[in-house]
Amino acid sequence: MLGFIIRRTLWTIPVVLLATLITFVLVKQLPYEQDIFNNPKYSPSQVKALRELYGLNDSFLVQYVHFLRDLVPTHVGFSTKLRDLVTFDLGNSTKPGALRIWDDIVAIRLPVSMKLGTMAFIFAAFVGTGLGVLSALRTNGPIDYAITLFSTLAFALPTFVTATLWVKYSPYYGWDTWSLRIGPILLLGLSIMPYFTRLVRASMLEALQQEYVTTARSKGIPWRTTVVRHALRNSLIPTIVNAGPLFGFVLTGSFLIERIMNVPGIAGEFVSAFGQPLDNKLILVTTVLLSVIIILMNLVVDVIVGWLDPRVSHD
Amino acid sequence: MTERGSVDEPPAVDPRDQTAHGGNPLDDPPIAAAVAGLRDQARAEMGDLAGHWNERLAEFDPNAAGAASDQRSLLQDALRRFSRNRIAMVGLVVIVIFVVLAIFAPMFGGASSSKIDYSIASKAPSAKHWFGTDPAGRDMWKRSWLGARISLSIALATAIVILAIGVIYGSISGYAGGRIDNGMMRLLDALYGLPYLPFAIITTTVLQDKFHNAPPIAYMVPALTLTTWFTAARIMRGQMLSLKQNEYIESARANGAAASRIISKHVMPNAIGVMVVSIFLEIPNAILGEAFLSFLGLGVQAPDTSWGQLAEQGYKFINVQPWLMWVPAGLIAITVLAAVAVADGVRDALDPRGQVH
Repeated sequence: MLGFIIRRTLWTIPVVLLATLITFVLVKQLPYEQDIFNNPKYSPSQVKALRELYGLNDSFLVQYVHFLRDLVPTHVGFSTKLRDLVTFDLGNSTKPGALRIWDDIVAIRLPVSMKLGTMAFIFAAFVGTGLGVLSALRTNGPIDYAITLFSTLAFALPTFVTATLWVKYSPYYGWDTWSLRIGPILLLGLSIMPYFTRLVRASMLEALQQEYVTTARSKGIPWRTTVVRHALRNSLIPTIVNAGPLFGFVLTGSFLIERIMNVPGIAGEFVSAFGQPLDNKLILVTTVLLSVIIILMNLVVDVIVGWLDPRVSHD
Repeated sequence: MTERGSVDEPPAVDPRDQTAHGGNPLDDPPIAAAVAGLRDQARAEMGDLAGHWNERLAEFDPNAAGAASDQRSLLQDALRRFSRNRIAMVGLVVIVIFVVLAIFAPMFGGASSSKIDYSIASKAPSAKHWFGTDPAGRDMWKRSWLGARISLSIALATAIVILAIGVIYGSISGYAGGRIDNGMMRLLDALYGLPYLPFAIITTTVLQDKFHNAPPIAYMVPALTLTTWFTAARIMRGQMLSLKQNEYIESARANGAAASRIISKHVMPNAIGVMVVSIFLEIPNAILGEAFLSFLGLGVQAPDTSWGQLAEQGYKFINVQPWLMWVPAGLIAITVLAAVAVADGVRDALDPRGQVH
């Protein structure tokens, strides 16, 4: 088991590097360098200074290494969006007008999105699993149909629809106090709950037909204990396996909810980074950070699954 | 359950599966006679038992039965099961109606209705303009179905591309096995960490910049596909691994059939159910993905329009002309519901295991 954890942890290093490389190559394709070149707002000397400031004259490899350095929170990397072009002073190398990626944007915005995503995820996981179990235990009955209808509706309604309706009829949206957080957490949770309900229902139905359930029943173990100890425990594995991608989904799925419900998360900054001029450094750092969070989540999930199901961790 | 294929027929061996020096051993007269004898004996001894067990087998693993039965009866079975599923049929009818309207509705209803006409701007839904008009006086009924063309074609194309990549990657990995399989799956594990939305947004922006005036399908489909094909590839690999175990594939391989032939002739027909189900499952995801990106303002760009983009524009007027957002949003929700119903219906029809008896 320990060997499995160590091997699995070491494996995240190349995975993170691959994710950073793919993101870097893709973001390099964004048109922002052309912006700097062809923008009549800049004089040739300003273009030269900007290119030096953002290291565009360096080789691909050097740029990639510098980008990795930007990912370290203590490193002062600057957003490529110059908030105040007038104060951009060529003689002064302290780059006034540029926002610091970590101190001014990520450190303030990302924790909000993380909190929102985590709470919505926990809410969806518990309620979704509960509904899935209930649905499986009452197959083809009215409760099953009601739950299935509810989760299908929750899946089919885009978050911008539910969020717009909520904002129209309820005062509980925003981020400053806990009561305001009800709206965003509830709606974000609802948007991924169907995945939990469907997964749990399907795997629970399969588990209930397994021989170990019949065996447990025939040994005289009460139905309730059989369901909880045997069927539920095994039916949770597929759900946990999918928890990593689902967590990533909930983190980025909050983009529209954050915008519509006035949550000061990373979404607003990320989306406005695609405006003119492009803030490609912020795009880069945000995308890689989200990748790293998902990769770490996958690591945790794999360790949990390895612990629940020894067949996985046994080599 | 009606007549499933019976176990007592030897699997037909396609002559192209044979090597020049091999030939089908079952054609060898003494062997053929022995096989026929054994078959008669088994028939006599087992009687209806074989049919009974084959039915039971089909309940639990249609693939096993499908191997022995002919494809047509399996398909007919599935069609019959599907047509009895009322919810799925309603979903199918809704989708057919939407597709027909998307094709024909923008062609009729007066030439002026998609043109800008400020004299009829921002009208509520009426007998003349069923879905109202937008602030530029354009008929929303017509624009909705113009948007449907793009939303639906993006969704279908995305589902097909995801499936195609998944099938190719998954079946190579599953068929090759060993080190190649391990490496390909490890790569897939690594790619699972890529966040869907940021990558979709970056991809649309890059493609829109590189190909000016490209049709929306050209930049939306790659964006929606880039990080979503992994699951399809895994499912196809799993299919490949389980189908590879079947005796008819071993027999084809023993007869010297090439890998490409085994995959196309023996594996694909048996995996078609899984493929159809995954296409129908990807369509609602793709519709929602397109709507999400367009609502952020980073998806389908004017002058082209889509449901997501119409909803985004309508959102700006939500307090004065609410129908501008609710019409496209409603169309998205109805389409997704219908597509989910069809997907579930197809899955249940092709795979009776999922149903509880």
